[in-house]
Amino acid sequence: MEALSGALSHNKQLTSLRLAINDIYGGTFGTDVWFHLAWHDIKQRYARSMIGPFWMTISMAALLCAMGPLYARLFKQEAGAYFQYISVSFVLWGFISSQISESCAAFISADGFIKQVKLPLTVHLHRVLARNIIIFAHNLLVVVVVLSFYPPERFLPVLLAPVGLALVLINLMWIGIVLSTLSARFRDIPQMVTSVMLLFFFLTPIVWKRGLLAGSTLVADANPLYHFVEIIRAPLLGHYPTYLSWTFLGVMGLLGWVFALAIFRRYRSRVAYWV
Amino acid sequence: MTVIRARDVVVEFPIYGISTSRSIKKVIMRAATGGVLGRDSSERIVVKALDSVSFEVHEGDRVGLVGHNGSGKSTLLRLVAGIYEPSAGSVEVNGRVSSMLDIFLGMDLEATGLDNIYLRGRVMGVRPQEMRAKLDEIVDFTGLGDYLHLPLRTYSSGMAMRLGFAVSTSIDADIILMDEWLNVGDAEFMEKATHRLDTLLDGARVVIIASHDLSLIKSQCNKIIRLEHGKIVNTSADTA
Repeated sequence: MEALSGALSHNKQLTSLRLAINDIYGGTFGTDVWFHLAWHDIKQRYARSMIGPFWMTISMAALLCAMGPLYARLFKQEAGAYFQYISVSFVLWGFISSQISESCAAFISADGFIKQVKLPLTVHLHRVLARNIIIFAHNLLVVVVVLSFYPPERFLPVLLAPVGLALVLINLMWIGIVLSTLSARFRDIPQMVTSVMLLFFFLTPIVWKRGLLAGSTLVADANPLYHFVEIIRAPLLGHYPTYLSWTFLGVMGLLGWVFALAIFRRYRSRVAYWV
Repeated sequence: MTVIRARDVVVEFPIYGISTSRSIKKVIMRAATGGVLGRDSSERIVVKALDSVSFEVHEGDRVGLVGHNGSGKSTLLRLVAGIYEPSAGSVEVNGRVSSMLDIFLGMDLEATGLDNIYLRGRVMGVRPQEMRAKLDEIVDFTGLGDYLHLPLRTYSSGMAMRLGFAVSTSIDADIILMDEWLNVGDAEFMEKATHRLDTLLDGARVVIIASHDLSLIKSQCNKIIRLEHGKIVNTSADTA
């Protein structure tokens, strides 16, 4: 809360970079506001439904039960291992892709807030992220059940999954800042991102495995979203992620944040005029 | 002590979504010369909502903003709230701003009245623990009783108004911004509300009210700023 009120009192003498950083800091630690707004979004979406957000868990489970056996045969994979693979893949992809597409509208749909009260802008982005994390957590139940039936090969790598998740979150955050800011001005971006994400669903090894693409693994390796999924998926399945994945996310995070700060510094103050 | 200082502030709204290229010839010419998309941003239409506005507000000031519709009153309030950052000039605000521009902001129709008290509080920067301390007083003031356990969507507009007013006015503030005097509910409640608002405003260091009601402004404010087409045409210190 301290951070939030710090960002609330505005002083024009500060440099634009400082203001951008203050906003990100205040937004991130304004947990009180964004967490409850996100929680409220979920509650509202499932208002008056008896099992509420567990509908997500159920529909994810149903989807996997239908797709798992079918695609295992299509790709001539061993059913158990494939089921394990596709369960983890789908849940992770669902989280990453919806976070990327929804962050476009983070500022646009919060226009009522942005135009009426001074809150750090990133609060609205964190609201979207928190909402998707809550949904992710519900879907994770499916993963837990599947992994208890088909346990990962080794246990030790599983401990790396949270580290991978943290790296993914850091990357999702800068992507969110860039997309939400630019989308406020250019309303074509949300549409564009939605269709690009659909394209990536097919291009990324989610339903299929990287190894199945005989000879040309470049399609997977050069795809940033593959590494987003893989860095969490590999540990959950009992493998260590490759150095390539670690490097990819690390470098991308670093360059991405520099880029996001540049964008946010330049356009942060304009967002209120654009939404 | 100066609480708010604005110097030569300009606020411009870019207007998007309308075609700036009204003649077909212009479009064809641009296509022929291979102009890049987005290059027309230099000739975009801009509305100047505030035009080199300068003013100072001191400790204890009660400022009334008057002017026609579209003269820039709301924009000026939002400028002080820090929502709009000026395209030119500078604004300095020393203190915590509480904007009463929308007393329902953060509330949700599906949530119960009680939940909405907390929701509204969060948006105003008040923690649930602090809100709990004020809860009894707020509940009492609304006079809504058991209705507070029902979702907001079941309320009549007057009841919703009572709730929004009660929560929004329960938090002490340094600088209070109001767009129009809050008109709430029936005569009996109105009296209660006026008294509460007076107490709140008395406790504030600075109050800025935008209104069309000149007699109200005269009775409440010691300083009147008149806006016309985004410019301050007259600042008078009323000593009544």
